[in-house]
Amino acid sequence: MACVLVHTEIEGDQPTDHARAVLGEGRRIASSLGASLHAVAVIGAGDDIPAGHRLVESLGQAGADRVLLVAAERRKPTLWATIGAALVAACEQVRPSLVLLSANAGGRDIGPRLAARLGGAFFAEPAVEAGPRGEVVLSRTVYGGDLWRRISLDELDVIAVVTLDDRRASTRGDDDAEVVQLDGTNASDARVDVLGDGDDDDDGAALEHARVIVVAGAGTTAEALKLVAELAVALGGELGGTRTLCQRGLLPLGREIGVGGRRVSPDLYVVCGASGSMAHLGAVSSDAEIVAIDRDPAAAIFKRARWGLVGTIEELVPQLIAALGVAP
Amino acid sequence: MTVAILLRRALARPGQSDEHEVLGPCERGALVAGLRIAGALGVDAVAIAAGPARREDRVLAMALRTGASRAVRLAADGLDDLDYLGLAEALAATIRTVKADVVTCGDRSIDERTGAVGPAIAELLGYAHVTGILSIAVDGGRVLCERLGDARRERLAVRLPAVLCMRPPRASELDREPEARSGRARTSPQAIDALDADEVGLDLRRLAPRKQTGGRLRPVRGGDQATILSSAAELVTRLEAEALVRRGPR
Repeated sequence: MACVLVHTEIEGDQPTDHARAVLGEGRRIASSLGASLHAVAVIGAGDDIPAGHRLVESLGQAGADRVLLVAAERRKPTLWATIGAALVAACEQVRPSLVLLSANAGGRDIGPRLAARLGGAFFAEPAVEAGPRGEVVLSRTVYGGDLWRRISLDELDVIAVVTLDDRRASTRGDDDAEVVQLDGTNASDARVDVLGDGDDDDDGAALEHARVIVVAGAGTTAEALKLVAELAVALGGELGGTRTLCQRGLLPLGREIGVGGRRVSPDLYVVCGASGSMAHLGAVSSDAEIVAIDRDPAAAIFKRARWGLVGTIEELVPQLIAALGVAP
Repeated sequence: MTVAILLRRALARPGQSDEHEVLGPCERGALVAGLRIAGALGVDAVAIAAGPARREDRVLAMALRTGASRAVRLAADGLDDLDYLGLAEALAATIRTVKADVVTCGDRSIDERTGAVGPAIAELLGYAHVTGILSIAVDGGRVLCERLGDARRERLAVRLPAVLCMRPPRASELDREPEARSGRARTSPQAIDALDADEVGLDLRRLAPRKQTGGRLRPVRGGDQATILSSAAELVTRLEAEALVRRGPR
């Protein structure tokens, strides 16, 4: 039987929210492929996780048929250098046809190298849908949203490694997943030393999970930015900026949305005074509904947006806040 | 020891250069970091690109102007059709040819945004790799990296050989690289070396299967002009109808 393997990051004795979401998607994909779903958790050397342990129960409830426990010399931070060898050992054990990882900083570091090690295909943050024959189709927009890159898993004759964002709802599976613990401890890459944490980068981290984002572009003045920030609050969303705006120092770099900054997947994305450049919109999920506010009716952003308002931020944003029933 | 800086002309569409962005933001980070490491170690920085001269020589000339001591372009047919691993094999062969121990590349390209080629090159060469690097410093035989983790920055020390996948440079970092702004060459630039597949020991026939594993490109349907609304109130009504917003105080 085919096998889908999901790397599930754990904190304490529970899978992270990222991991639960990816495991939920893995459950759906495995069911449609008629495959079994293995959750692989990397544990510390000497950790004892018996059947009935809270972690195993949680992974079973999140959809896993089998829980594979693999020990690594170093578990944190989640990087290829720390747990790559452990994940390779898991793949060699179960020979999956598909491996899923979270599209977070760790998954993006591990996924491509794991795919290369296995000689497989790699897909970053695709949408997953059923094709006309019931097959699983992975697709993502590229070139700033002009093109789709798509592939059906049944066309691949190599393993596929996929990073998924955590927008998926988790699913409910059986509680009684089977547990398999691999022998031995997998060495970490001694060439990479973890020195510790640098500065906190919390400011802007919430953008990656926000359902509503209001973003200010290069055409936004410091005064107009205050209005844009008020709109973000009125919408219950997060405030972001384009590269140009952040590099002008008007917002922290942690709030930059773009190919060189954060990637976001909101439901609603309100763009104030920003172009629709590939460097900017390339980092926005293709299923976000985009609203554009710009004084130039010919601005490129209106070709990407679903709805638009033509006018200045100073004129339109207070009206928008008022229409939302929130005092400006 | 040599530092290889992997560069790639930003593309607006497959095969069509982006006239606004010569280099993507992350490739700029690779250029700044590669030059800094080469300067600190006192070794050559070799800029490498793969593809046709009409497209890639512009970025290689830019690298020479900003301080690279040599530029190499891998000229071979069909490179654009390969997936991440096929392209990584082609670039790894070129890196072996220039005998580089340090490779800097962009964390992700502006067009495909996959972020897979750098780690795949590291795998093929057996080098360490780190992705998402915000800043670097050279400390003896190690490169100290600050990396963007989830909600916090991580500090790592990487012993060479290594592939370092860079995020964009900060404006202040560009300011500290005067050559990058002025266009003055640090060393006398040689002509761009065009190497073919044979010269780097690359068997393109062996890479043919990597043309099927990247998926197919299709135009996105639609792309129509946005519906321009007459008022902010109308916009809120539309958004509310699709449960994207709700009225009233938060």
